[in-house]
This record gives sequence, structure tokens and C-alpha cells, in this order.
Amino acid sequence: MTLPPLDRLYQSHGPAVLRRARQLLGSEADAREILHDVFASLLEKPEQFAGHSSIMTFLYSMTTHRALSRLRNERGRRQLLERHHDPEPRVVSHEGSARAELREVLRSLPEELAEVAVYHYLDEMTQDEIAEILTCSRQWVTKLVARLKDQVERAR
Amino acid sequence: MITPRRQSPDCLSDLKLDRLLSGELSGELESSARAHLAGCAACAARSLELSADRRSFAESAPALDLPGPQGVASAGLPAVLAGTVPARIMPARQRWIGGVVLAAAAMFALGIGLTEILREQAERDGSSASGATRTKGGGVTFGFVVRRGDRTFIGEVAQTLHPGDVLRFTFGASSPEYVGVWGVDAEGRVSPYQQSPELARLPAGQSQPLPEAIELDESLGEERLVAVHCSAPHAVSEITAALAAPAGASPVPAALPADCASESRVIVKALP
Repeated sequence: MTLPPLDRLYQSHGPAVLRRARQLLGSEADAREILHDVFASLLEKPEQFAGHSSIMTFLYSMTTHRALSRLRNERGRRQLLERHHDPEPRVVSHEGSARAELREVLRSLPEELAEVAVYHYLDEMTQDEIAEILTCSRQWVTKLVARLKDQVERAR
Repeated sequence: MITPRRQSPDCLSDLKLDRLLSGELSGELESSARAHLAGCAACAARSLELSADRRSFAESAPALDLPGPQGVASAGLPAVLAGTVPARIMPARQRWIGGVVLAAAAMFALGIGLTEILREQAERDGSSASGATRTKGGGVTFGFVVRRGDRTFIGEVAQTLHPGDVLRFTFGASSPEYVGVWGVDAEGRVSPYQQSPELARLPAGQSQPLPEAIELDESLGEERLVAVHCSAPHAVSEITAALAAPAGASPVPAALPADCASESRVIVKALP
């Protein structure tokens, strides 16, 4: 499987990338940057898509990685600022508190579990779909989901 | 946590719906997905939401700042990707590269053989085999040379850089051009990477070095640089304002002056 021309891919798959980034980051500006970065990265390194999954699955994964990375970077910056007694102004979310809560959980989870949390809680993917996107076995997904639920429980 | 949308294990995830709406599903997979939609109000409603989202995107999709066909070819990428994505500028996060602008860029050249490096880069540009520069219409090139300690080397596509690296931008065109380099952060803040109030006038030729350089700070990640080149003189503040200006409901900044165009580069900053 090969990538279609990038302009066509942008029209057909860009909406999903943008929506996904928006869901994860809660910021239209950040989401549009992720959208841009994803397609610019594909132009720079098209070999990233190896054809092991559908293009949409691949883009879901790529967008998730980049959005989670940005959330973690934000958390790091906030901690740094707090250490220097200069906390950032509190941001009041315009969206539901559930998504804001999920975002906080994602920031605190290890990378692998944060990704699973997105697929499991936010996307409500089946374990088969998660296995495809993570390129691992369904059994491994089952274990990851169990670990995730355990960690979320303990955090409450 | 999020209230579950799926009513049953057979319900379609967003991924499945996105695949269906983007035309990725066919045969039995498509038939079964459509059959489910016909009998499930929750999934049908979600499908309508995603369809509306797609229409909205089609009507007001943000333009991408991607190199044109020649740039793709020079980077050695498949011609299939040389699409017609509009080459416009879109804000990109540049927090980390807000490094120190080194006005005395001559220090960059001291004892490090910059002349030889630039000659090598010009040779690469001439053969269109370099990943160090992006080429667009008119044979324009934009690249950079990196100084890391005692080493100096040409920046490649998606070059990994380290805090403390010093970048000297290079530009090439078949006629004299007025050139500057900017970073645009997530909040739309535009950072010019030159202290001069005017764009630098560069002579015609390949890999002409800009007069100033920047030193990278401590933050990490993949980022984007934008070079703007014009056929007439412009104030740096004018270009900064053009890049920063909102364009109505669109996230794309207002158009640059008519005699200007832009190039961009992705670079990755990581710890050594």
C-alpha cells in the first residue's frame, strides 16, 4: 500500500487528523499545528508509512503521538515554572470537564499507557483496532488495558 | 471520564467511521459498516457529525506550508507526493528556537572553513541532490549550516540539532533577493531571526549566507523555520506583521507583499 498524492490525502484524511488533535489538545491553534506538522512530516519522510496498516490508522497513531508529546511538554514547562514560583495563569476550559480530566490523566501516564488510554477511552476502539494501531497482539492489548485501568483506579 | 458513545460492541469507532468516510473501506468491510449504520441511531448520528466536520474542513481547510514539486524532487522524495498543496504560511510552534541572534555572524566563520562548507553546499544545490535545501520555482534554495563545537556541517532534511548549536542560514536564487528568516509559535507569535531592521540583500548565486546566525536554546522537539524572500526591500517589521496578521476566520496569516514568497524547513532538536 502506498500513499496517495499528498494534496488528495490532505483533503480526505486531514479532517480526521485535525479533529483528533483538537480532541486531545483542546486548542484549535495547537490542533492546526499538529495537522500541519503531520503532513509536513509525511512530505519529508513518506517512508514512515510502511503500509502495515491502513493510512487512516497510521495517521491516527501519528497524530496521537504528536499530541501526547505536546501535552507532556506542556506539563514539563508547567512544573518548571512552578519550581520557579511563577505559575502560569489558570486556563479555564471551554469544553466539558471530562475531556479536561482525561487530558490531565494523559499527562501523568507513562507514554505507552497514555496512548492506550486515548484509544480505549476517547476513541472507544476495539481491542483488535488497538492491536492494529500499536502493531502488537490482542493479548498484549488486553494486558495494557488492564494495567491502564489499574493505574487510573489508583490515581483516583 | 468520557461518556461512552458506543451502544454495543458492534458499534463503529471513530476510526472505522473515518475510514468509511474517507473511502478506505471496501467490499465486505464497507457493506457491514453501512449495514450497521442503517440500524444504529447513535452511530448514524456520529457519522453525520463526522461528515459535517469533513464538509467544514473542505470549505475552510488551513493551507499547508509545504515545499513545491521541485523541492520534493530535490529532497529525493517520490514524485507521487509532488501534489498541489498550496504553499502558504501557517503558524508553527517555535518556542524552543528562540535562541540568541548572533549579530556578529563573522564569528561563525572563524577557523571553521565556512567557505569550504558553503562551496560544498552550492555544489549540492547545483546538482539538486542535496537534502540540505528546499527548492521551489525559480531555483530558489533555503538551507542552513550548523556549527557544533569545532565541527561545521550542512543541515539536512529533518536535521537533528542540539541545544547550543549555531545555525547560519543560507539562501540561493538566480537574481538578487531580500531575505529574512522567522519562527512562528503556537500562539501566532512571530520571531524574526535577525536584528537588522531590513531584509538582508543577498546577491544572485547558490548558498549565499545570511549575515546573522542564531544559537539554539535548551528546549526540544520538531520545529519549523520560515524564510521569506522578496524582490524589493522590506522592513523586517512589515514581514513580521504579515506573518502574524490573522486572515479572518482562517488560521492562515495575511498574504505577504506581492513580491515576496516563502520557504520553510523542518528541524528536530534533541539532546546529544
